[in-house]
Amino acid sequence: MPASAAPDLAASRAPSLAVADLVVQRREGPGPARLILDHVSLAVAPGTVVGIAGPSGAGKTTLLHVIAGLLRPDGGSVHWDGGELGALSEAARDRWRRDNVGLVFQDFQLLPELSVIENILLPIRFDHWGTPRAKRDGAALLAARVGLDQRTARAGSLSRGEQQRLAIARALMRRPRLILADEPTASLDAENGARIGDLLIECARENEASLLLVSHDEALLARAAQRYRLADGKLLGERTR
Amino acid sequence: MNPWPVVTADLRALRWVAWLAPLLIALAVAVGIAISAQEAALRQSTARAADDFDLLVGAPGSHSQLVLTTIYLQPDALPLIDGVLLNALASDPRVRAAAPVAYGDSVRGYPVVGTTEAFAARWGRLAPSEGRLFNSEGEAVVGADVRLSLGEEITPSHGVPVRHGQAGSESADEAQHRHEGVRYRIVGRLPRLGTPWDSAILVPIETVWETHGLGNGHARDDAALGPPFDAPKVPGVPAIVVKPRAVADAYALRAQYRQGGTVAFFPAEVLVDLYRTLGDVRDVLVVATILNDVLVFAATAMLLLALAGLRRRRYALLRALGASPAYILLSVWLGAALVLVAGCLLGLAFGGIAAWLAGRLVEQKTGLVLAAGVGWTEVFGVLGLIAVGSLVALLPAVASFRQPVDPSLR
Repeated sequence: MPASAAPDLAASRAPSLAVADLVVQRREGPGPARLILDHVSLAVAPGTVVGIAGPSGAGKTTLLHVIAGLLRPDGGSVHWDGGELGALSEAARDRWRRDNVGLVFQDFQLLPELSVIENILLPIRFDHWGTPRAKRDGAALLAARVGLDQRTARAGSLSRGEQQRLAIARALMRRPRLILADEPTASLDAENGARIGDLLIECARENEASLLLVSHDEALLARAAQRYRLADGKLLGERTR
Repeated sequence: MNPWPVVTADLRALRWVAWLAPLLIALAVAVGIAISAQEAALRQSTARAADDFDLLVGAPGSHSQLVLTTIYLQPDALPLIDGVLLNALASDPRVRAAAPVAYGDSVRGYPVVGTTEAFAARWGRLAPSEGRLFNSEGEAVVGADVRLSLGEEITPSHGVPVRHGQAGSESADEAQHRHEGVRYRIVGRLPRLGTPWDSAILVPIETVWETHGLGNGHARDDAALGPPFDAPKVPGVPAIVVKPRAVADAYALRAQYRQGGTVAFFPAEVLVDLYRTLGDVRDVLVVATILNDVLVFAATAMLLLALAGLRRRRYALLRALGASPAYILLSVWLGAALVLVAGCLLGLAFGGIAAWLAGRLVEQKTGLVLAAGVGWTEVFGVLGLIAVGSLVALLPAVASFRQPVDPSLR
């Protein structure tokens, strides 16, 4: 898989993401609340690859969680395709996330007791009792796409590289229009990290999805169309390729 | 939605605990099932064994002992009542039939019971499954479980304890106390009654009297077996079984023979006392078992609650992937309910097996066949436990589905 810059798919029909003036505070103990996100604003055109760097504790994961609707901000808003996430009920946010967002975690967050295919199909189980043939075939294709041939192997028995690829396949199963990847290469060596980066960007391109990469990996970030740095809760210096 | 993949993953993650927890619940439930089934079977079996013993007349003493010795053939030295009563009862218009029951001898561990041909056939209710009933002195008819062949000749031994469940061979004690010169020829076998009488050797009362040097109860040596016993001195007997003609007759006879140096009672009176005691013991045991079940359920619920707490990251991940709170609730509840329900169902099976094994043990020791099995009472009891288990399983489920996602994922 060659390392290549991701093209901007702004012309696609995918919806856009707009984050405006986000504020998140965290209260730990009796002292004043700590500002985690300080009036963060971000606009992501459809199909764009966005890279966000920053030191540990800068608020990168919090930003992803707010965008995914997992955390309600103390201020500001997240708009998706013109609609505000904060206006949705919890159930509606769950459905929106299920239908639109693919999450990739730094530590994979697989169910190690399930097989490769069962892990990939997991998001389908949330609203289907049976597994339609097309979905099962799609999961098999995805497994092959990310280079996992041992479809019946338990996720817990895979190497770290394989587990990260499996996590990506799971995130892509429902063909999300927004992929949020939190330190996807952090626990991998350089070679595996490059492969995972290629995979993510390529899959996002194939699905016409916007991809938000939060990472310390400069090589990965260098391939983003828009790059930011998050420090002390502030989003700094857009660098567009 | 399909929670099974998550339930499967959760149960696999439990590893040996997924087997041990239901096993512990099963053992706790099985104890209650076994006690309940055993007690019910014991009631039915003891009542059935007493079916043909409407009214017992004996010498003053313990009613329970007379019942135990006469109906359940648990040997004991009982005082004798005057044999003249046999004739008095036999000629009483209120009596349909009366039969003496005498014991004290044994052959190869089987008790020898002296009685009449009519009572050997349970007042005509039974016909031998093999051969015929005795019709002359020196003949014997055996119970279904006696391992002696028709035509075999045997010699009784005096005062040697019978050995329920271990009979079949002559003990050294029996060899030393043989009634030398006395022989019985086995002429028939009775069908199975499911009572200790299945292990008995039934012989004419006349032969028992003669064996002990008391004559044969008749004026002539060649008199026909059975009443009337017209000897000048009719030997005494430990008990007389009376079949009254009517309920009123039964009560009148009972009242009459409670005086004048005898006792008379319905075995059911003793059994009711026994059942009351059994019931009290059962109640205590059932309460103890319920407390036991509650403790095991509570311990399992705490374990599942702790596990749900440890798995909050997993459930947060499912929420992050788009699962609804209802999906989490259903997954955790199903997993916990499966452990508890599997334990209850396994307990029903274990309880049935334990009751059956205990029944076999009682049968070996007493000859009483206990048809101990799982009945509707036990099934409904377990269904109640399953209902409780399903509610208990809600604890970890409720604790999980409302967990905040963002902090749990970190």
